[in-house]
Amino acid sequence: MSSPAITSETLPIAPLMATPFDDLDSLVATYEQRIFRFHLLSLRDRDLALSLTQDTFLRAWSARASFRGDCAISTWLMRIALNLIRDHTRTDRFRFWKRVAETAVDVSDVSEHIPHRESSPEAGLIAREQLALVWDSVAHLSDRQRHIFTLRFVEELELSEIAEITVLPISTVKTHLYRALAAIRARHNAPHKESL
Amino acid sequence: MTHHLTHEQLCDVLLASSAHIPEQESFAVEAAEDHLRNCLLCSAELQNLRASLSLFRHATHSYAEAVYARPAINKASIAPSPRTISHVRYWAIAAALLVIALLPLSLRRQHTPVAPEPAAAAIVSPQTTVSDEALLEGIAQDLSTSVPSPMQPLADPTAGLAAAQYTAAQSNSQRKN
Repeated sequence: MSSPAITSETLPIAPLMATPFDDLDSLVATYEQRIFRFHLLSLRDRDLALSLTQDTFLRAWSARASFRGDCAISTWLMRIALNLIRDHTRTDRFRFWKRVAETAVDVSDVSEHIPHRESSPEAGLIAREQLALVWDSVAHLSDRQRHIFTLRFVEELELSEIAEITVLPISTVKTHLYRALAAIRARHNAPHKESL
Repeated sequence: MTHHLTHEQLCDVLLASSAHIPEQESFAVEAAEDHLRNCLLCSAELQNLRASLSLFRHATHSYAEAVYARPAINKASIAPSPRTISHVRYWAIAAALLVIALLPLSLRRQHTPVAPEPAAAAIVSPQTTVSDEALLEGIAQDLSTSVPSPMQPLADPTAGLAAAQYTAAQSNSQRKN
């Protein structure tokens, strides 16, 4: 008696669940800008940010089987992005490259993108000064504080989302934000104190 | 004496703008907001901080968008990026440093009076020739002798015994006669 040949038609069909990776193009289109922005602000290097944005989606695609839908896909992608940044900035090589990189982002590049709501030149100057102050303060934060600050005040994520991404308790996230804001406030108040 | 908001209270107000906060904390935030309505100094500082953060957010969003919206050719360019050029420059510097580091070593090696080995091999002194000849002669002598001198007594270990037996037999026969 011959056994029936195993073909794709005879195999039991597993119930297929829709995942965000079914339509990778739309997934990338939806989140690439946000991921890129996060990389750009964390690393302050255009090329590196582009490269790590690609790596984020590549790693997400490779590990798509591990995505169980426990959290939002944006949270999951941000966590991957954060891990990539951590891996990258851990080495001394990164610090060296940061010094010699020609694609490093400078505050003057960003200040050209200040919204032109301020009509007077004086108001524009003040806006540039304010931006430079925050930009510089953020640069001097610790890596973790900078990541959390960016997630909260640039990406406008909720504290619970940040806690999920960073795998930290909400209280710790808040503490990091307090410290980050303390640094910015100190810089804000310094000119006033000097002028007094 | 006027009590101003603490840093944490000010931050809580700033963070409470969009975050879901527990009920007990929301009371604290409400109390802080009450204070802000009456305190010009605290409200001015909060407004200033909010304006700075908002400016930072808008500028960075706009900048990131502009960078990312550059033509796709820039993103997937076959030509080496400035970063790649930097890599080349880095390796060139590294190679130059390596050469600089190794140069004194090689110079030092050249100046040290090392016995010239190839010259020694090329020039054969007469003493060496003599000693070589003597050595060869010795080897030839050794080979020519069938039994090496140290083995000489062992060449025929039974030779002495046979001779003794022969003499003993002879003397016995003489006695019988």
